[in-house]
Amino acid sequence: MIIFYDKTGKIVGTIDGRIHDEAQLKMWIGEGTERIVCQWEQNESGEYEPSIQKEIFTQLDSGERKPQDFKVNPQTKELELL
Amino acid sequence: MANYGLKISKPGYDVSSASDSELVYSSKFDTLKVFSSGSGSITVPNPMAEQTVTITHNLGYRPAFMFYTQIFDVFSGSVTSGYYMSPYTDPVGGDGSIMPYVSTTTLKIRYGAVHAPAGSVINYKYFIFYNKAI
Repeated sequence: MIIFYDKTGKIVGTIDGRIHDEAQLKMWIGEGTERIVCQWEQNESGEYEPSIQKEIFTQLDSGERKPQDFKVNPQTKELELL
Repeated sequence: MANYGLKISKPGYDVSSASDSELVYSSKFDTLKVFSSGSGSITVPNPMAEQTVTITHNLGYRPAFMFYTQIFDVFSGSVTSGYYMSPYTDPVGGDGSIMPYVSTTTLKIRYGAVHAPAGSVINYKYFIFYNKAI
């Protein structure tokens, strides 16, 4: 998943998916926005898991939580629950 | 010419003799291929003004797309829980339309200046396909 946020950390858009190819990495949402990229990677057991903030991105992937439940901390570039 | 491809029939039909309408998939026909999908939201500014969401795809051609959005229902006075397929035109009038349009590099969605009151949070969902629209 790719998450785009404004200067205040408000999420303005996302690109869904676990693995993003080069073409999707060239995509952008909004103007003057920043982004977080979470790619899913294989762990030592061969299972796929998010590359960052595993618990949160697993919940986003399953639909248990929605991007609107979060904002981005512009300093740490991490998702935080609203 | 060789006759080959992939077909999947509906339950109860022999794939070797099923008609096209008895198939759930056939490689004989083109299909929509998703390039990307996602979601987001806008917050209507105060004072109210038009807003444009820009999604850069950089495909180099105008791709087919679908765009769904919540709207502000003037009759109930609240943002709908359902998502409306756009373009959407407010029946009350004014600059209340929601218009998605695509170029060779971007999908843009213009929210009219009076589509919802200031402070309203409107969620949207989009699909961009590899298929060419034009």
